[in-house]
Amino acid sequence: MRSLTPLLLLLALPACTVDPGVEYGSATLPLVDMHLHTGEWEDIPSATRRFLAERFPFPLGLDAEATAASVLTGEGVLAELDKAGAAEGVLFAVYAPRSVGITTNETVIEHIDADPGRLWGLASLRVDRWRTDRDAELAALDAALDHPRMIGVKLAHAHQHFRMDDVDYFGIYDVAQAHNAPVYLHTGPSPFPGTSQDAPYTDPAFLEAAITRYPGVSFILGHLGFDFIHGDEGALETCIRLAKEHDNVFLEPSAFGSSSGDPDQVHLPHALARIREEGLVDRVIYGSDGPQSPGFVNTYAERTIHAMTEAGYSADEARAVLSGNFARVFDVAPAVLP
Amino acid sequence: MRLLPPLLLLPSLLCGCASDTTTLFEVELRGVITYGAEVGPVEVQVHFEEAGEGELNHPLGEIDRFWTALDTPFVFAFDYPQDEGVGLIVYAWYDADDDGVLCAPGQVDEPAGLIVVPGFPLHDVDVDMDVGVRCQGPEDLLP
Repeated sequence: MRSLTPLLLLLALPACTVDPGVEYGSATLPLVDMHLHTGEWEDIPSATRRFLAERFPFPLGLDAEATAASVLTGEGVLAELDKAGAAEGVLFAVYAPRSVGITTNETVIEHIDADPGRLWGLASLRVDRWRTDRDAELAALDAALDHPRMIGVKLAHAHQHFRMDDVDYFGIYDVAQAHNAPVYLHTGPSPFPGTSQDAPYTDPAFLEAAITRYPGVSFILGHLGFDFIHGDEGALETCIRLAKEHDNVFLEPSAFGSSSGDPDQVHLPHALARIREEGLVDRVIYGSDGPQSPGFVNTYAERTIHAMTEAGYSADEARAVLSGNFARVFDVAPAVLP
Repeated sequence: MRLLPPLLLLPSLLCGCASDTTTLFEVELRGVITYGAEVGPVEVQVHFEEAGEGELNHPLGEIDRFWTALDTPFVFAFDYPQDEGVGLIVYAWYDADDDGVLCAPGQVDEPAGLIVVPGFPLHDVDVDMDVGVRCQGPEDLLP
């Protein structure tokens, strides 16, 4: 099967890159993609590997391992960023052995080294043996955040199987606060096998106890609570309420606006319009949840630009969403066009 | 025991994986869940005790779930995928406010409990459980 790969990629992949920046009306804006994955195919549970392979565009699913390998390395991610005209990207560590698999902090740091001027990382930790491993896991998270390019924490209660309101895990936010590290949290039901779909693991309302207790920690609500099982907006209004009531809440509209999740381009324009109506544009941080498959990072940026245009975002508002809010929240230098 | 239909193997063949045949072991779970003298809906979940290999090994892993009533004998049959994990855990929680959510914010603190079934694999499993620990998912009640 592997020998098919070069031909399949030639058939399916546009090899071109675009100039840095994205066009928004008459403006060219820098783009930062704050939600990207890296890792190894074999570190994903077999049920999830099957799930992913079935969703690669034909014919890439015929050799899913090679397709994944082509986009999941640091170099592969950079190539996908180049196609999208993105200046910078953020790689996520993931520790979810029951659902989406493991990408260690060390792997993320290794891939960041592919271009430390363009790639950042969010660190994470295992929580599945919390009673026995808690202190060691918190220490490992603390150590990972000492790396100058590891600028935040990634959690996914639904994939990692711990309640959003469980105070036994709030030590994670203590570590984040000590490093001034924003915390990205998956919200909403997830399509991956092995996910906890129950409300305490998916509904951002259950995060409010932590959001209130840690006003110095930035909470980034990933996917805006979108319900990927039923294909509806899910907890969007809860996310908006939390952002209106808490200055430390931010919003990340990744994945649900993809061509498969939002084929008629309804959900993403609606979500971005609602956010703008509520005066929360300065809380939105762009992410794609790529690379997923070759070309996805670019396509998601295009669909987000379309959604912002539909929702009436000005060029300055689009600039904030696409890069400015990221720089402010993560306290890094703003991305600039060459 | 029986094998899954060949159609389910197609995706794994397409992605070049090794054989992914799953052997299913039939289990009949019987028992009663109690919380003092109260009556009301209770959700029961059955999990592996452990699943996954190597770095992907982890406790728990849901196999199935169902609703029954407190203080009412139940019988629940399910297929246990033998190649995906080991052991059997039964977890239950009492939905005291009947909202389908364990301890929603600002609502009733609802009780839960967990038992590791000794001697598994068994075709017939008897479980009698008193729930009593507030607002805990199965991950918090592991021994």
